[in-house]
Amino acid sequence: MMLQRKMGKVVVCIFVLQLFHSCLMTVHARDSNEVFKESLWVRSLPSGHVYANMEFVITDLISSHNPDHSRLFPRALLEILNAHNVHELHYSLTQGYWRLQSWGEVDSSAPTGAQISAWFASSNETEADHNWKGLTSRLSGLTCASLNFLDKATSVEPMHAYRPHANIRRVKAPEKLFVRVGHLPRENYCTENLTPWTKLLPCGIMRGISSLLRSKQVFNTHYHSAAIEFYRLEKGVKLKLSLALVLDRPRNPRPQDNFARTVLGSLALFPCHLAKETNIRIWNVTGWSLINPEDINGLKVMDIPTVDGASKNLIFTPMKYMGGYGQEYGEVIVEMTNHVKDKFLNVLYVEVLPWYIRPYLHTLRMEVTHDGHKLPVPAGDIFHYTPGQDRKLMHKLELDVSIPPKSTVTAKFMVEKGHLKWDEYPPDANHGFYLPAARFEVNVTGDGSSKSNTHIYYSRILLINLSTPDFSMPYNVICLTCTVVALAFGPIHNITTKRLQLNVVVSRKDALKRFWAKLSRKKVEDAVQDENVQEETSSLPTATEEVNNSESENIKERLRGK
Amino acid sequence: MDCFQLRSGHASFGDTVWWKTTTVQRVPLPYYDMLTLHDQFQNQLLIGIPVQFKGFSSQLEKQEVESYQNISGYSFQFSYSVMSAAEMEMVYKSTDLYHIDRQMCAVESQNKDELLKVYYVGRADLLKEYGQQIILGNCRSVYYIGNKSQIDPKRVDKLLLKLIGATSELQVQDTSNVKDSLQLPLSAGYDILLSLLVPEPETLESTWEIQRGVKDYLDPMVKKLSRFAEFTVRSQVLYYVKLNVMPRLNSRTGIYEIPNEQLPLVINPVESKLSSFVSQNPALNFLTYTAPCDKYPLQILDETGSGLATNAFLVPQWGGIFIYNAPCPQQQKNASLTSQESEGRGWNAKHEVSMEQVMAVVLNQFRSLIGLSNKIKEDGVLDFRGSALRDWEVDLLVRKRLRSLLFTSANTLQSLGNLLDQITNIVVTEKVGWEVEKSVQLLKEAFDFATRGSLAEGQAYALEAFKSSEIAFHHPTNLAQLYFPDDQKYAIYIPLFLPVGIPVLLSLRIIFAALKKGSNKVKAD
Repeated sequence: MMLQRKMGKVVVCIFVLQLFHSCLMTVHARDSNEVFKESLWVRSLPSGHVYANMEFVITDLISSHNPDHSRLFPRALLEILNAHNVHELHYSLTQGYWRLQSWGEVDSSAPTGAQISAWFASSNETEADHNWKGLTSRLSGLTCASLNFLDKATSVEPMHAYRPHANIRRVKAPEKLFVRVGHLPRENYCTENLTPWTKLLPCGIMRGISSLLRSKQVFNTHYHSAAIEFYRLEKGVKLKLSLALVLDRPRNPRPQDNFARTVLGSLALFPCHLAKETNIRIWNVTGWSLINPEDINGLKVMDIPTVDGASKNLIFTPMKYMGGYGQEYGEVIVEMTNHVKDKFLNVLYVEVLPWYIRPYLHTLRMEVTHDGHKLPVPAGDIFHYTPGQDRKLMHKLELDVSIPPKSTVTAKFMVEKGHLKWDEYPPDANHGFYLPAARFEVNVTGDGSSKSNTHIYYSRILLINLSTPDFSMPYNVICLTCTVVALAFGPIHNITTKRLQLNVVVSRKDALKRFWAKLSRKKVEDAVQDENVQEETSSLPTATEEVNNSESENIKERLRGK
Repeated sequence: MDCFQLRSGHASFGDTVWWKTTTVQRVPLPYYDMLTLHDQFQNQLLIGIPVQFKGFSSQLEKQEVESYQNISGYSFQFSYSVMSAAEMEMVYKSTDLYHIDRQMCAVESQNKDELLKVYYVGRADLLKEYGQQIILGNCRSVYYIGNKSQIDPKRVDKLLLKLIGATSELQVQDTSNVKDSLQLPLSAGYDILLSLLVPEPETLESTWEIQRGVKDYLDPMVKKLSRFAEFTVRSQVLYYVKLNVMPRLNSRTGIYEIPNEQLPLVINPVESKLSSFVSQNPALNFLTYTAPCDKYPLQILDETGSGLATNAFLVPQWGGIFIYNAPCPQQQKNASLTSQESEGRGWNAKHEVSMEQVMAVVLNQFRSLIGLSNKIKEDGVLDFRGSALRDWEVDLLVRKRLRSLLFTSANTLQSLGNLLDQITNIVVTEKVGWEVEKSVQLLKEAFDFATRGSLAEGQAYALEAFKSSEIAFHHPTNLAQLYFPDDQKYAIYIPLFLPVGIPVLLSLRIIFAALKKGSNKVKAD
């Protein structure tokens, strides 16, 4: 025992078990250095709406970060990201479209529907595909979105776009970093998606800035977008959860109208003890002003200054639409406009099309419109195209173009609309098919700033019609065939089984008489039957037949007599 | 004639095509083995437990040995040898029994055999301390303390019962079905999730040094259990989460009491935060709930209404919950209420949760969950040293698991065999056939190893057999044709044949009537 004490071992006496552990570690690193910061940005939009952006950032910036033991990080999400070696993840689920023309420049853009892009480590291409499939399936379970439909056939591997944002951790030799991007334009954002998202917050929805959220109001907005971003840095990890809302502002706000109550529909902000910082900023036309977290409860709608159309600060607006006619061919037209007066814009345009929309690349034409003059555009440095394969791969086009000041570049190419098998159509096939949004990574030239200043924009998603079969056809065919068979069968059956016999045509009067005769005879027969119970029954029909025969003879004679 | 042959040729060709395209694909399976393995195990499976007596002057009687051949599915195999000089030195030149055991464990960890050794210890000082009894050590050594070096069968009885996890003669008879249902579900691995629940962090923010706690307490145990199954340990802290309890204030003692009948509903609010999207293994959850300050101290009551000493309770197959009463900042509460409140940050008191207290409860609950006794002091067993598990206890767990692995996979195969027999349109693909084949082979191998008492190999084979049998039984291709043909028959044939069938049936009546009439006429003639 003496020896052990000298060695500094710890003897622990416990009331249940007497444990004796040989723990040599007396000094150890701190378990975790997890920091949680939350912030809220509120500003008016030129259209009169109110824009609120919530951000929740959790960081653990020490290299000894242990993913198995979390304090503030959402364990369920971290488990998934570790299981798939994810180094950077961007996930967004968006309802609506950020209207650049009326709302002005966007803070963090996201395409309509669900989008996920990830950089992850894998040893080879097949393993990377497998890894991606697993990641999307598990995230699908976590977020309750249909991300599980994203696999090799519905995702792409960009060559030039979607570069990693931050200084992400390098990987060791046999493994490489892979990137995959998937977009589900048809995905809707519902309460079942918001609830799991709020569960990732350390304080949940009852505390902190998220306590200002009321799901009724979230789904009553013009635009809302929830995002999850994750970075595995050289030192530690960073997770950012954000929610952007474009809300209605009362048309004629009264001075006493409370901002939290009338605009956000919530009671008040309840502080989250775990947040190291709670920053609330309001745009006062010239810049952001910081207010105390408690003051948000007393903030009036009037306190948020309105802005005019001049403050849009537009840099770039994209526009994508479908031209052409008929169900066989169409034309994708993309217009990219530079709004800056004196600077060129370098735009990396990424177009991803499902396999059944086949682009004819040789028809690609690009022209620039400046002051009403149309000029051809020289090709940029990047032109990367991977053709799709039916049911296996999507078509992907990445190209860069330089847009002169105050001009519009139009790119057009013809597409062929393919035919799907009858079981490949989604439910409600006549609703149409959504095409993913085009992505634009825009750099302002001559800005003097590096790549970090890349602005990202998305076009609208497109809804197009494909030739859709009449899905009631099999049912109709079965019905028709059965009717035809039944109709054809009846006469054939009658002809083959029944013989044509000459019958005596009698007048109506006679028919009545016969009827009476039949009835009276039946009565007689019954009486006879009762009397001759012992008689053989087989003799009865012959007797009636004879009567029948004699009657018809009578009628025939009478006819002859006439 | 030619025409007829041609037609029949067409017909036979058509028939073969029809047969080929409509028959249910079935790979030949070892049906006999599938259907009989389970019964064979029930009748013949005796897991061998090798026991070696060292330093005894006598051997067990023949009839004694025979009576140990089959005790509730286990069979003891005895051998005898003399003690080596090194062992003699260890036994007779050590200070106390713990010292002997430590040395024995050190030797054992070097040579990896699964032999249980019973040493005769004829030391007067130990005899005085412990009396005449058999004491089980922390590894696979057993110490027979007595004044005669002859084996006493009555004392050996008790030892053997302990080795198979039975405490008395009575329990051997019934295979304790109730206890089995409380044990872990069968799986290749298990997840341990430790959660600290802090309901009001603004009044008292509890933290824990979980990484140190896991390293010091759980890791040695998990390492020892790696022979039994893979365990992964994770932890999390959940804030602003309250358990679903309505404690009652006992005005006499000033303690908030949770009645026993509330316990089943306690975990509902946290259940959603405990699931994992990655692992498919069953999870063992250990919740540590720091009592909120307005309900301090919190105490769980047992069925009789008196306070539970451990303040913790167990949920079989799920995990355990421990109520931790962290000291609340009572004085500050009144003194600086106004000034602190205005900051909106509460009192900001911090408390470091005692890992010793938490881990003691966790280890204790963990032992119960994996099916070991958690008595504070057990008769005839040496206290824990090193880790909270003894080697022979792990052997006991492995044997139990091996048995249930063998029975479960044999049962799965039997059910699959019966199912294929009863439902004729289940498809059996090559993959399924291969898995069944593999499972049957591995089960036979595992059976041989189990009878010989080689636990490690036996378990490895049985686990693979279990996995294969599960894959075979749950393979999605099995259902490929199960739901289809009947629907097709009704949907297509009924509308087609019903309108056609009615006139045919009606004309049949006429034909019968005509035939009858004809025969009557013949009769009349």
